[in-house]
Amino acid sequence: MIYYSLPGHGMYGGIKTGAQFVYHLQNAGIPCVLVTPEGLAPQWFDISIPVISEETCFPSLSAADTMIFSLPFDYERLKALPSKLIYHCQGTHPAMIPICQDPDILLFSAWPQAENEMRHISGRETYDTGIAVSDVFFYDGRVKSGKKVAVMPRRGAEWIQACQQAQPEKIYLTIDGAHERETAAIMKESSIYLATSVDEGFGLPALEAMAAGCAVLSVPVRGGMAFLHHGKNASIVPPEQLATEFSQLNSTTAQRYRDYGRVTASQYRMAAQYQKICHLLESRAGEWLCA
Amino acid sequence: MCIKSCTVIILSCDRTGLLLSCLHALEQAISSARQLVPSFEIVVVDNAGRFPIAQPELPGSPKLIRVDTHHSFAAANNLAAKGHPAESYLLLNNDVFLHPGALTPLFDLLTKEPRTGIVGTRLHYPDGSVQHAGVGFGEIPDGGGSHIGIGNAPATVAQTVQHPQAVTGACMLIRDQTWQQLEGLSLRYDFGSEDVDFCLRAGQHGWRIACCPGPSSLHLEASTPGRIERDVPSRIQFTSLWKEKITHDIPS
Repeated sequence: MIYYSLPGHGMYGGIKTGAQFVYHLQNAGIPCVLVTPEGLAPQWFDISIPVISEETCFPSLSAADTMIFSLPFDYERLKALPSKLIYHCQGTHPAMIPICQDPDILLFSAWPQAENEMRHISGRETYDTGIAVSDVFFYDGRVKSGKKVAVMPRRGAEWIQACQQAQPEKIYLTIDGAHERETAAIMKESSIYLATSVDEGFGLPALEAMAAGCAVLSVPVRGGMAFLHHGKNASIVPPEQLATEFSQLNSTTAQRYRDYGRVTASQYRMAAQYQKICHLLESRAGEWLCA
Repeated sequence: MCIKSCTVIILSCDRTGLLLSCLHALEQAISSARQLVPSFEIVVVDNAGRFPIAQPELPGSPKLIRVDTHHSFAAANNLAAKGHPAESYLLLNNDVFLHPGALTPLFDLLTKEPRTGIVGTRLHYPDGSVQHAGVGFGEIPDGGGSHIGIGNAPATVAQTVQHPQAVTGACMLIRDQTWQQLEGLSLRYDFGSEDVDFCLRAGQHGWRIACCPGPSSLHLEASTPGRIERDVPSRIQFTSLWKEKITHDIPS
């Protein structure tokens, strides 16, 4: 049996990415369940997968089982379990170094940047699982308001405030704490998304915003550079320049970002990631997942 | 892996007319499925009805178990399964009238998908609208499930095998291995939600749940006296156990 251990069920991109991975494995016919500390299910996005608690899971584990984890800080305690381990790297952090150096652990990556770093550390093969944007985000043709701007003040609130001061006539809609469906609705009616999380290691909201047809203005990130292309589908500027860039963004450029952004996001559909995981199952990694 | 035997379990309480109709339809469905499953045993549990069922009047020569005190849906089914072990169990409500071809795709799927432990089937109301196409989660505020497609035209629901998180116990085919691993239905419920609970627990053990698209069978639904009233505490119990532990389905 395959288990995917998550540190919780809260609103973090890594939680959704882990759950989506379980969902795809299940659809590929691989028995797989999500494990959270208390057995609570993430309910801020929609996905049909079983969830169990660590208390239920851990005592029943054997060497025939495989445990996938993504939080590097979980390494020590999961290493003590009898199951095989797969590290699913979603964002890079120094804590992942001993994991990558552990020859008993199979290495998966969600991002090219993570893949490169893991290969550099480990000197061995890693497997790309990709990421996906939930289907609910993809733009459905509804009327957008040129005044509405989607923001996530949880990360980089000061840069959003600077934009608000520069463009007070805009309507700023917060996606923090909202269910995925509400977030998608906000993004679909907004024209712009301000990605203000400095040095973001993951950056899924910017990709979701692209899917929803927003022009993305972002501060530099680590995790999202595979899909953020400055001047093509987004503007990437230092945080202190974000307000100026925002003020100077004309409608032609914004529309170009939207169009290219939607094309970019279309490569990250759930169906595309499922195909990627089917290929993964045919590789050597599949031996760990199909046993 | 071929399924060689099946015990069909039908609970009945003072609705002999329904039971006889159910058994007649079942006979035809079994006849079609015999090419896949050589051995069927039908067990009728007379669940403390006021008017005991007379064995001679039942078509298909089922085994009759009479219990003189009311048993919960779970307890009665568990009792029947324990006494009549088989490689699979079909839980069937007495107000479900199977389409003659309904069972074949269920057994076919159980044979082809070794990790599928539970298979349900499409059910419809007398007016032809969908009664059941799986159980979905996310729309009901109390955290309980709801029948996918309920009340809609048949064409509005998926026409292929689906893998919902649960299917109804009104017509539920269960692999013996799954049944044994979960030790049958949970006795926490009097009547209602034990079927969904069973499916969710099966999912936690890595079993897949499937719902076949057809042929659809007729389900009158809620024909047992007191069904609605007895469902309330079961649903409350279900919510207290599962509300925060179920993921919500991707809207179709």
